Amino acid sequence: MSHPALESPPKIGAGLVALMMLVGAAFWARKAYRIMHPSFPTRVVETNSYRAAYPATWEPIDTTDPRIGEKEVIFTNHRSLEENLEPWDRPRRHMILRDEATGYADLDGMVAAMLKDAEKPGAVGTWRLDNGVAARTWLEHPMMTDIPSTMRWTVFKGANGRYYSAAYSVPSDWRSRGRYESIFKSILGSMEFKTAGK
Amino acid sequence: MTRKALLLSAFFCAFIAAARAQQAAAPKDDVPGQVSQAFLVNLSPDQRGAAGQDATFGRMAAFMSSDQRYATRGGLIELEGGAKPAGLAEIARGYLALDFPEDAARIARLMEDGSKNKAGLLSRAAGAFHRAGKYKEAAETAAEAFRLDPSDKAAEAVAKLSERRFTKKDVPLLHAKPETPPVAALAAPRAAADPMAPGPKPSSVASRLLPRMETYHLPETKPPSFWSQLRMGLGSIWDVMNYKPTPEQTAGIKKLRDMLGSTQTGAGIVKELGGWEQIDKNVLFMYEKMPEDGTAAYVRPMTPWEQKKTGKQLVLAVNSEFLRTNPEIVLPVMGHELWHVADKVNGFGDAELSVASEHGAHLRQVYLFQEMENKLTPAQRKEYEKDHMWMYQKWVASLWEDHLTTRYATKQDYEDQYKGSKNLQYLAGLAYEDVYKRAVKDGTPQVLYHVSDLYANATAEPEVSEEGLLKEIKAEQDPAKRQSLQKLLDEVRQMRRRLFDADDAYRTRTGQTVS
Repeated sequence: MSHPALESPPKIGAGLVALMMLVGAAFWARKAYRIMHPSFPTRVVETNSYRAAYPATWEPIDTTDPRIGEKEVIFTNHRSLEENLEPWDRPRRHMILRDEATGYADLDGMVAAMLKDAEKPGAVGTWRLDNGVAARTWLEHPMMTDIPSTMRWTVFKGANGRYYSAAYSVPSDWRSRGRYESIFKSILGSMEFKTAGK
Repeated sequence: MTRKALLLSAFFCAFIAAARAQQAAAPKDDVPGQVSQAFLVNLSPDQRGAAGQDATFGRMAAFMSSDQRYATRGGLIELEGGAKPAGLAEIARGYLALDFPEDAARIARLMEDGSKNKAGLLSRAAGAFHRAGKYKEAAETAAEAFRLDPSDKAAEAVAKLSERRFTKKDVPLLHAKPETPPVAALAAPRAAADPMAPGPKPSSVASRLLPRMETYHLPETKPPSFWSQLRMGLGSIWDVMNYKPTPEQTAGIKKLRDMLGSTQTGAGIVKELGGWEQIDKNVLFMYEKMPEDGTAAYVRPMTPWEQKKTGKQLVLAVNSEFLRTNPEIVLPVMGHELWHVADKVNGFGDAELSVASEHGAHLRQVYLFQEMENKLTPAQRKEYEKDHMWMYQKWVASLWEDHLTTRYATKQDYEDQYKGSKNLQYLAGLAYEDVYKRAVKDGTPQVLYHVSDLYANATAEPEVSEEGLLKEIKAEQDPAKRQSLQKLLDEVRQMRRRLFDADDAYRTRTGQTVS
């Protein structure tokens, strides 16, 4: 018979610890997923050749200003560098979408032309966008500043026969990267192409 | 005066009075034109010219000072009385352009509920409240707009996001589907798998574990991985401990130093550091082979073993590939790095001051670039413009030179300056819109804004601002932490004062003052 003072304190079972760790990991993964797969109400930007949806809280885009033009549209989350936002939204992020007209024989020809001035490009892959368009995409590592930086270029041919290119700076932080790659890709995937006069 | 003359005068007065009464009673059909007029009368001739013909309200408002905005608001208030619904909507749009969402919402509420304008204006006012940080007003106005027009997704978004801000409640993520299926979706089937290839790992782990280096990155190079940074870090220590320069490297460093000393900007930095003799006591200049990671140059403090071995405090290393590059292209980079040395020697070596140090370094780089460019023949200039690093420096200098919207009629004109580099064209387009949309003013702040922007996107380095620090100091309860923040604020202020004083001096000396 043992004396109560000699008994060891109650032990937490290894199973319970594992369960707690699993629950913690699940919460962490859920939070990370929600950051990296955001869903926003959208507003629409319209040019002569396409319509595209982008987050409604982002800066409104005016395609009628002749000095800015509609050939190249810039999607920007905000322009301030000191917004009181979550860390992954605090830096401003932007994607350029350019209407490259019809001057290419095919998409591969366009990729070859765009790669001519590429700076350390990675392998060219294919993205299937939500609107069914097959886009070619690659990363570049240009000298944007005195620190390493990465640009993603994406090119595709719309259902109206016109070619488009899009580019954005890939965030270095993995959560921001997942979030903004998802948003920019969904903007491209929302594009509805217009034929002349429609 | 005769009776006939009196009668005529009486008729005339009665006519004038009747005409005025009729004018006052008549509905103000020309309110839209009057709104434009209210904007135009408050712009100076220069501002009108810059805004261009047929400028939108937003465009005109972008050129206005705070006083001008208030004066224009006064003009719009005068137009409100007796305006028809269409006129009221135009006035509200004017208020929105001037950034007075309170007035725009007030006007919108005067309109009938069935009016499409009402919902739209309230929605835009809500967005303006949200952007101004007035989340409660934004949530209320957006909710009102959403009640009137349930299809307004922007109002719904602002309502929920603003509510989240002011109630601090975590509302469910917003979900919305496009109203119509995308046209092209009908043309091609959706692929089952997404073949997006994983990109390079972020370097934040490396930057946390390794000693900090102020690095300058080569064009057309890959970002360094953790292992290449580790290899470079250890390799750098090894190189310093066993430093034996080749005659070619010794000659290369000497050439760069001589060229730097022969420029006014370079001589100024050398003087600030107490002359070459003093610099050599503290800094080891060396060429270093930097393995495929793209780093062009860096400054770092020495480890204690290195200090013991060399008797110096800092390393300024330049990529050995620069031995084969025109020195005119490398020189501004060398000046950039030497400015980091100046900051460290002057006690501004804190990691939190690194972006402020980058601002100073980039400005010195611009000055040196201009000095080099001015010495080139047209043929040399054409040749150098094939080099990506030269062109990047040219772009930074163009931001510093400012007046982009005056020098280039359209965004496309500015982008055309960088034909042959789509990545620089990308940056040029962004910069033009930033200036055009008044996100940043012309002049030095413009180039600093872009340096900050690039660092915010590509590094985890914090940028501290006076405004942010003042807020933090106000909120901090711990006296020790407050004191530390206050010290940081003093240092930021000193750095910025140094930066702007030097910039004013350079602009004055070279006749490139910002008007």
